Amino acid sequence: MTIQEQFAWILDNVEENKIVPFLRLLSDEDRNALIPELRKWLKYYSEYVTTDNKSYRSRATAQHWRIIASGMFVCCDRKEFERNWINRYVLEGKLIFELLDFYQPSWFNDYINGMASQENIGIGYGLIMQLTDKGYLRPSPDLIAKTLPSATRIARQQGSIFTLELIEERPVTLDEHIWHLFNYESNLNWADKWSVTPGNNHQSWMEVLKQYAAKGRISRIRLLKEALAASARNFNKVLSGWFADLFVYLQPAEHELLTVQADLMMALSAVQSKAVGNALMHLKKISTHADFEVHTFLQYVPVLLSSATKAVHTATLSILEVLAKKYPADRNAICEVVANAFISSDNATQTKAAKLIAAYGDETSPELITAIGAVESSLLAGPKELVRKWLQTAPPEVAPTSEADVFSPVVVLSEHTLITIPEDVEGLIFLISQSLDNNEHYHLEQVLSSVIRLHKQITEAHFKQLEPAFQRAFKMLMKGISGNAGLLDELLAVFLIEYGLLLEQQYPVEGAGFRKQYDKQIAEDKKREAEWSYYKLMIVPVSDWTRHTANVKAYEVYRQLVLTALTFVQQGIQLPLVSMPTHKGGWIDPVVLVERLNTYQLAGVAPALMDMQVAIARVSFENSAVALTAAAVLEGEYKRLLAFLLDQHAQPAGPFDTPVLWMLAGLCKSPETVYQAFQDFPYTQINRAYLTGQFAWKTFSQKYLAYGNYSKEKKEYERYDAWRTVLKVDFPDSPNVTIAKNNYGGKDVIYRNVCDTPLLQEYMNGNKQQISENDIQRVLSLSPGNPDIQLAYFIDSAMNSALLDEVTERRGVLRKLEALYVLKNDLREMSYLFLATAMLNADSTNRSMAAEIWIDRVASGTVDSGKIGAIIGTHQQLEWAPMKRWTDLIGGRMQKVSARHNIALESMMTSCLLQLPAAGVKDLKKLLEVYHEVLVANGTKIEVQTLIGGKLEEWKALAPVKKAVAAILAL
Amino acid sequence: MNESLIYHYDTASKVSRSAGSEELFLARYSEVEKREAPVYFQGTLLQPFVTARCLLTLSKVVQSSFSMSPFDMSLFKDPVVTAGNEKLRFEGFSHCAGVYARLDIRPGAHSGEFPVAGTTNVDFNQPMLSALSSIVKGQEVSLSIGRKDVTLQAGENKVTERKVPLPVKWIKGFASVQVFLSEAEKAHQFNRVQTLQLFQSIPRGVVKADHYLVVRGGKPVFSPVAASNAVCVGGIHRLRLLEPLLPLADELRIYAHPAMQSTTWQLYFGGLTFTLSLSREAWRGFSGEGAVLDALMADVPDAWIEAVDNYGYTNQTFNASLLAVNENISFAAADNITAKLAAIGLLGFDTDENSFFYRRLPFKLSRIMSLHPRMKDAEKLLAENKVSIISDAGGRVDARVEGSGVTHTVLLDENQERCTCTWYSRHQGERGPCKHVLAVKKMVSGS
Repeated sequence: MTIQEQFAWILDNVEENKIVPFLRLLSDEDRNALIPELRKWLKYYSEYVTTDNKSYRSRATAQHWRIIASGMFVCCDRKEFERNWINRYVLEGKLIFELLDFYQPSWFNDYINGMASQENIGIGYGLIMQLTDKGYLRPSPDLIAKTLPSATRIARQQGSIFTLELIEERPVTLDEHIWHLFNYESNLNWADKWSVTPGNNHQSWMEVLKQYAAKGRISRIRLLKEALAASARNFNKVLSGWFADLFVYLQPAEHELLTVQADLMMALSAVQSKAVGNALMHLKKISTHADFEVHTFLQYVPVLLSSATKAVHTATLSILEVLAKKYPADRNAICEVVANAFISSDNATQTKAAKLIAAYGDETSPELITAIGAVESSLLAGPKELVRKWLQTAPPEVAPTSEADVFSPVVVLSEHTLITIPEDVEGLIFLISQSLDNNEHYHLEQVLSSVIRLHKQITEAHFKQLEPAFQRAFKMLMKGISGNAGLLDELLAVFLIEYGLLLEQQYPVEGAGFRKQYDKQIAEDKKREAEWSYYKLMIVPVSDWTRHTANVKAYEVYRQLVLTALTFVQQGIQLPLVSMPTHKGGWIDPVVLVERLNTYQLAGVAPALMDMQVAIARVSFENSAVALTAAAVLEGEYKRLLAFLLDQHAQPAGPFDTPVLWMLAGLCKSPETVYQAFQDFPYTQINRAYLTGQFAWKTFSQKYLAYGNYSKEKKEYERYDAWRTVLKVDFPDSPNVTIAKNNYGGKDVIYRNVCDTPLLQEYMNGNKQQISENDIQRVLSLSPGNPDIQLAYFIDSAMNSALLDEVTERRGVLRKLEALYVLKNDLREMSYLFLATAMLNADSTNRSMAAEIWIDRVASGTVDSGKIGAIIGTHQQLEWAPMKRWTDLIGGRMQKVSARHNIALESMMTSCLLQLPAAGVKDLKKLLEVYHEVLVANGTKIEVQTLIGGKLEEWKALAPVKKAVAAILAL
Repeated sequence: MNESLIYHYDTASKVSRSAGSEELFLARYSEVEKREAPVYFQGTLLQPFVTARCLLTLSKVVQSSFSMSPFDMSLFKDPVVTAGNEKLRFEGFSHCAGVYARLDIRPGAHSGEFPVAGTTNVDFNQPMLSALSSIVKGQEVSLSIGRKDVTLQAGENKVTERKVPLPVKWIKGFASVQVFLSEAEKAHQFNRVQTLQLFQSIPRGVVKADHYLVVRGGKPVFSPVAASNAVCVGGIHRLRLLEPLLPLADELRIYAHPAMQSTTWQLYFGGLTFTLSLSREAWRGFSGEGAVLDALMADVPDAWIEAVDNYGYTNQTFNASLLAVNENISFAAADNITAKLAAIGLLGFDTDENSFFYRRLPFKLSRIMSLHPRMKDAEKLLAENKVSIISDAGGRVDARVEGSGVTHTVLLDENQERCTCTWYSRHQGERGPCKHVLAVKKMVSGS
C-alpha cells in the first residue's frame, strides 16, 4: 500500500492507535506527499450529510479529526496546520506527547503561546505545565495568566470539583505564575463562578489568594500592591472592579495601607471609577496619619475632581477637608486644587467645595483668586455666594430686558433651503442617479418634476446614460431597501422602471440594455412569486404598488403624485406638479404656487386633486402678501381660494366647486376656526380632532401583569399585578374611523371615507411600525404646517412609556425631532406634547435634540415655554420618567444660554412645579435646586401670594426639600 | 485582505528603577530599517508625568476599535515613533483606522541626544504600560529608544516576537490622515475649563447621531442639531479617549477639515502636544476615504522618492521648493508630489507648524503603494480599454466608462467631477473620486 492508501485505511477504519506509529515512520518526502491527501480528507469529512433528511452533521467523528489533525501536525507547516480549526484535536489526551516524542516542530512553542491571544484558548494550565516539564514549551506569562484561573476546577462526569492540586503541584505556580494574573487580562473575575458539586469544598479565587497570603505562601504586601495596580490597569471594567474588590476583601490594616500608600496614589489615575473610589476610600483611612503624603495626593486632585463620577468628587473633597484641618500650612495649596470642583455641575459637589474654601481659604491669596476666577462661569448660585470674596466681578445684575426683547424671526423660505430642478437633461441624469442613493426627503418629487419638465428633451443617447440608474432601481426592488432608504425609495424605483418602459417604447434599439435588465429581473421576480407563497411581485406598475398604501394612507398620497407625473409624461404635458416643494421641509413659496396655477390655467389643465391638496398644505405664509397680489392673474375658483388662503382676515367666498380644497385651506390657514360657509361640507361630520390633530391626552397609572421569576415546576414565568405610568392619546369616535385594538396593546385607527374625496388629513395616519423611519420626514413634509395628526399617532405608539428605548422608538423620535427642527411649524397641542415628552425620553441624544428645538424656538419667540413645563409637570406628577433626565438636560444645555432663555426656562420650570403634588415627587430637591439657579440668574424673587409661592409654602415642611425651598424663598 | 506583521524586538520595552529614577526603555523594530539596533533617542523627560499619561492614552487609542470585535482588539499594533530634529513623535492608530493619535515631544519637554534619526515601531507591552501608569509627578525619568548593547540583550535570549494581523487599512489610514491634517483649518481654541465643560456635553454611551460644536453664552457645547459653520463630529464618543488628559492640559485647539470629513483635537501641555484625529464617522476609517487618490494620480518617478529619501532627514520640515532646486525639477511638480509623498508614508503633517515633516513609516513601501484599490481599479479600467472620451474641450470632459453591465457617464468640469455610479451618487464626491472619474482623469492627463 502507498502511504496515501495506508493513511486512508487508518482513517476509514478509525484505527486511531495506528496513526502515531504510521506517522513516526514517514520520511520528509512522505510527509510532503501526504499533504494533498490530508486536505482531501479534511474537506470530505467536513461536509455535512444527513441520514434521515431531518438532521445534518459532519461526516467526521472526534476520532477522525484526531487522525487527520495528527497527520497535519506532522506533515504541514504551521500556517496550514493552524489555519484548520481541527488543529486543537492533537492536544487531546496523550496524543500530543506521542507526537512530540518523535517530531518537535520549531514553531510548536509559538503555536501554543499564540493561543493566549485567541478567543477560545484550547489548552489548560495542567497540560501547559506538563509540556513545560518535558521541555517542549516555554509558556508566555500571558498564556499562564489566561489559563491559570481555571486551574482550580476539574471537570468530572458528576460535575466540576474544586481542587488546589494543580496550584500546589509545582512551586513555580505560587512563586511566579500567580503574579501573572495581575498583569494580564484574564477571566479571573468569573472563572470561579461555576456550579458546585454538592459536598465539594468550593472556594473563590479571593479566598484562595487570601489563604495563601495568611499562610505566608505568597507575600501579603505584594498581593495588596498587585491588586491595587491591577485595578488601575487598562483591563475591562469588571476585571478591574474585581481587583478593587480583592483589595477590600483582604482587609488591609492601617500599617499595610501606609506601606502601599504609593500604590494607592497610583490607583487614583485608574480609568475605572471603582478602582479610584477604592483607592480614595483607603487613602481616607490614613489621611490623618503623619506619614500621609499630602503633596503627592494634591497632584492627583485636579484629575479626581474632573471625574464624571460624583462619588469620586465627594470622597476627594472629604479627604481634602481632613487635610485642610490638619495642615494649616498647606491650606492655600489645598483650596487651590479644590477650585477644580466648580467645573462639576452638581450643586452638592460645588457646595461642599465652596464651604471648604470658605472655611480654610486665604482671602488675599492671588493664586486662589485666579483659580476660582478661572471657573467662575460654571459656579452655581449658592456656592458662588460662599466664595464671593474671591471673585473680582460684581454680583450679577438682572438680565437686561432689551436682550430678551429681540427675536430672530423664523425663516423657512430662505436661499439655503431652496430646492431646485435641473435645467437640462444632463442634470436630470445625475439627479436620478443621486436620488436612489442619497435619499433627501424631496428627491422623489424632485425627480418627478424634472422628468415631467425634461422628458421631451430626452434622446436615445440619454436613455442609455440612464441605464446605471435603472440597474440600481432593479437592485433596490429585488434586494430590498437598506441604509437611508425608505419605502418611498421603493416607490421611486417602481416609477423609474415604469418610466424606463415608456422610453423603451420610444427608443427600442437603444433600450436593449434596459430590456435585458428588465427581462432578467422580472423572471427572477416571478420565480420568487412561484416559490414563496407570501411573496408579492416587486416589479409592478405604479398603479399596482398598493402593498403599503392600504394601511398607511400617507404612502397613498405619494403614489397618487407619482401617477399624476406618469400621466403627464405619457400625455406630453410639461406642467410642473403644483405640490413640488420649493424649500426644504416641504414648504412651498406661495408666489411660486400662484405662478404654477397660472401656468395650468393658461394651459387649460386642472391640477390633480391630491396634487392640489398637498400644494395647499405646503404653503408657507411667509410670503403671502406678495403672493396675494400676484394671485390677481388667476381666474375662477383658484383665485378665490388663494385670496381666502393667503389673506389672514379673508372669509371664504363661494361658489365652492371643490369643497375638499376649501376645507383644507381653512384648516391650514386657521385650524381653530370653524367656518360657517363650510357647514354643509361632508367633512364637518368628522370629529374635529382628526382634522386638526388637537387630540386630548392623559398620563395615568395603569395596572398590568408583570413578569416574575421563572418557575421550573410550572415551566413558565410567574405573573403578578404591577402599576406603570402611561401616556395615551385619546382617539375619539368619529364617522370617518373605526378604532380597533391591535396586537401591541394599543389602538389602530382605521379610516373610512365620509365622501369620495377624502381630505389630506385623513391620509396622515400611521404608527411607529407602519411608517419606515426613513420616510418620517417625507411624510411630515406633506403637511409641514401641521404635523400634529402624525405626531398623535406616533406619541400613542412610540412614546407611551418613558421606558421605551428600542431602536424603533429611539430613532423614530429622533427623526421626528429632526424634522420639527427644519419645519419650524406653529406649535400646537400635539407638537407641545411631543416636544415636552421628548425632553424626558430615555435616549439622551433625543433629549438634547428637544432642548435644541426649545432653544431655537425661544430665540424666535415661537414657543410657549410654560406649556412645555405644564406638560412635563403633568407627566411627572406620576413620576412618569426619572426627573434626573430633565434636571440634567436643564443643567447641561438649557441654562445660561441667554437672558431670554433664562426667563423662558423659569417660566417652564414654574409651570412644571405647579403641577406637582403637595407630597412632592422623587428628585424634587434637585429640580428645586436647579430652579433656584435659574431664579438667581434672572434676579427673580418669589412672592408668597403667587401660585408658585403657594406651592413652595406647601413644600416648606417637606423634609427632603425643606432646605431647597427655604433657599428659594430667601432670595 | 489581511497580512501579518511580525515585530521582532531584540528585547521588551520596560520601565526600570535605578538609583531613585525611572528609566523608560522602548524597544524598537522596523521592517524597513535594518541597521543594527541604532539608538534613536537617549535623554531625560522634562514632563515625565504628563508624558507617561499621554503615552498611556496613545496606547488606549491603539487598543481601541469602534467597529471591530474585542478579539481583534486584543491584537493591538505597536505605535510608531519618529525621532530626530530635536523632536520625538509617537503616532498610533485605532484598529478600525478611524482614530489617529500622536504625541509630539518638543525640545522643552525633553533633554537628550538623538544619536540616529529615524522612524520605527516601538514595543508597547502590558507590563511596560503598567509601569508607565506608576510614574508620578516630580519623578526623574529617562527615556531611551533602541539600545546600543543589543547583542548583550540578545545573548540573554530575550528576543520578543509578536505576530499581529496587519489590516491594510491600518497602514493606509496612517498615510491618508496626513492629507486630512494638512487640509484642516483651526476652528476653535479653548482653555482647560472650557475644554472640560465641552467634554461634559458628550452624551453617554455609543453615540450614533452627528454632533456639532457650538459656543453658547461663552460656553462650548456639543449639540445634535446641525448648525452652519459648526464643527461636525460623527462618533463623538471616540473623543472620550482624551478625557484622562483634559485636566492636565493647558489648552485645546480644534481643527476641522473644510468639508468636515475629519476633525483634529490638539491638547497642549507645555512642550508636549497630543493630537487626536477622528474620521467622519465611527464606522469609517481614514483608509477608505479617497482624500489621497487625487494626489496619487500624478506618477512620481522612483528617482524623486529616492531623492526625498536621501535629502530629507527625520522630522525635518519638508520644503518642496528646496527639493525642486536641488533635484532640478519644476516648482509645480515639487508641489504636486508633496501630497503624494504623504500618501505613500514619507511625510507627516504638523498642524502646529502648518507644514509637512519628513518621516518614513516603518513599513515596506510596497505595502503602502498597493493599498489603494480604487486607484488599482481605475488602472484596470484603462488597461482593459473601458474608458472612452466623448469630448474634451473648454475645460469640460464628457466620457463613458464601462461598468458592471452598464456604461457610466463621467463629466468633469472646473466645478465638479460627476459620475452616474453608486459611489458618486451616494457620496457626491465627499469621499474622494470614484474609480471611473479617476480613470477618466488619468486618461485625459495622459499619466
